Formats: sequence, C-alpha cells, structure tokens
Amino acid sequence: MAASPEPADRPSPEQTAFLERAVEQYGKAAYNFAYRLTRNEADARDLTQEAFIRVFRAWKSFKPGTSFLSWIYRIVTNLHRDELRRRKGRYLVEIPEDNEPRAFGGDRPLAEDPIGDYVEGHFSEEVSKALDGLSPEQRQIVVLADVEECSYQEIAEAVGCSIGTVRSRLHRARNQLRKLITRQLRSPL
Amino acid sequence: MNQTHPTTEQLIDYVHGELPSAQDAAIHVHLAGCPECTTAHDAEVRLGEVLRAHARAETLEMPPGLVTAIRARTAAEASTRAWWQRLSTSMRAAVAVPIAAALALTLYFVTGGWHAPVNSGSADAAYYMENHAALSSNTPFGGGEALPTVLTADETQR
Repeated sequence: MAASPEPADRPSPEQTAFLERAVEQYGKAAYNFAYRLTRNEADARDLTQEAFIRVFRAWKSFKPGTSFLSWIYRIVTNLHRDELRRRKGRYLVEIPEDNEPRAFGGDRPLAEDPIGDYVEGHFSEEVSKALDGLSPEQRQIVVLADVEECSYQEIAEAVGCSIGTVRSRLHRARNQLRKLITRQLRSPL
Repeated sequence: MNQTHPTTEQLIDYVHGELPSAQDAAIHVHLAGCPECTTAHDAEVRLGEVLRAHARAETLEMPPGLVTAIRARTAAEASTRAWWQRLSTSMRAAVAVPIAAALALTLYFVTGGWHAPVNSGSADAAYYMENHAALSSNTPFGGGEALPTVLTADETQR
C-alpha cells in the first residue's frame, strides 16, 4: 500500500525538523540576543517567538552553508527595529552623519580610564544600568558591534541604515556609556 | 605633538577595525609612542571587553514554555493556512463563475452586444450594389432609375 500523502493542514516533516533544530540549537542565543536589545524578558520572549515564526515561514529561504545565527540575529534585529518604530508611531530619526574625521587633536580627556576599574571589580549591575540608560537604537548598535562583534557593514544591513549612521550611533553610544559608567563609579554605592 | 593625537571616534573605529588601512597604520604607529593615547585606546578596548563579559555573565536560559509557545504558534499558523487554502479551493468555483458571468455581461453591454454589426463599412458595398441592382431591376416600384455608378472608394478600386 502506497504511503498516504501528508495532510494539507500539517507542515512538511522537513519544515518541522528545521524549526525544531533551529529552536534547539539557537533558541537560547536568539533569546539572549533579544534580551540584550530589549533589556526586558517579556519583550525578549515575544521577540524570540516572533523570530522563530518567521524562521518557520521562510525556512526555504535559508541558504545551507551560511550562518544560521547571523540569519536569526538579522530577523530579531529587524523585528526589534519594527517594534521600536511601531511604539514610537513614526520612523526613527536618522542621526546626522557628523562623523567626518576631525583634525587630529580631538577634545577627549586623555589618560583617563574609568572602564579599567570596572574590569577588575564588580560591574554587572552598573553595566546593566548603563545599558539601560542608552536609547534602544544606541543599544542595538552597541550590542551588534561590541557583543556580537559584527562589522559596520553587517550592522548597517541588519539595522537598515548607512555605515555612517552606524558609526555615529556607536560613537555616541560609547561616549554615553563611558559617561554613565564614570558617573556611577563616582557616585556613592 | 598634540596635533597628531587621534580623536576618540577614530580610536573607536580603530578598535573595531573599521579604518582605512593607511589611517589604521598611522594610528598604530602613533599608539606605540604615545602613552596618553594608548591609555585612551585601552579604555575603548576594555569597554568592549566589559560589554562582552557582561553579556556572558547575564546569559539567560530560555523561559519555560517559550519552545512550547513557538510550536503552538507554528502549528496554529499551519492550520490556519490550510483552512484558508481549503476555503479558497472550495470557493474558487463559487466565486469564479459569478465573476466570469458579471464580466461577460459587462462586456456585452459595453460593446453594444454581440449582434451589433461587426463591420458596417464599405466592404459589402459590391455585394449591396449587385443585389440592390438586381432587386431594383425586378421590383415593379423600381422606377428604372439609374444606380449610382460609384458608391464607395472600394468600388472605385475594383
């Protein structure tokens, strides 16, 4: 007797297996990435769930041999960006690309390293607070650039902006982080 | 020497390996001989290390129920899609036939009906002339009037 065809109301075994494998291998990474972007467990949960729904829908568009992690990060980043836009009710305002290299001799305070003190000591709560103090757009860039170590080009593609905007946002975010961390270090704990 | 100090922004790009090679090399050389810039550079490096260490320390387990929720959502979506497919298949004939009928009616009225003369021009002039001449010659009311020798341009071309 010939095998009966798969009922129409069920996904194919390959599609189900793809999803199961993706969730099993990359669910935790995707969830943590989502949490780093949102700083909120409920939002991270929603974002992760929605991301895997997209994976399920578009499983055939995944190219074998490419990085699934990059793919799911891109999906999460896009969903996060869309969610930010939806919550704001408007499109993100592009930060002016004022990152033209200035003449040497910038106005940074030299020989000051408040971050170094953090590395040696306890830092988790303070860094969390500092990250919470960033705008969602700044945090998105910092997470991609410094935690996930993506290139500016990869970030620009994932976030949907120019490399100049990535650069500007990262500079501002890092300056902001430095200030926040320094302020917390100097404030009585 | 202050003129040659790189900016913070340039150091951030340098740390991320995002500078053009010539500028990257210039800063590399500068850092080797400038303790102040080296301190600033190290601070940028450490900030990245702190962020990565923090991310590692903060790693969370997937919340219980998330995998189940994903499975439930995908199953529900597959079911909805299949329902829609069945509906659209079953409705295809029920919807397509009235639409086709409506289109046919519209076409009928817009074009003036299928029985309208397709071509009432001069192509039949020769036929008309021959038959009308024959009819006129046979009818008692024809009056024997002479038919026009030229009716249409087509006729003249014959």
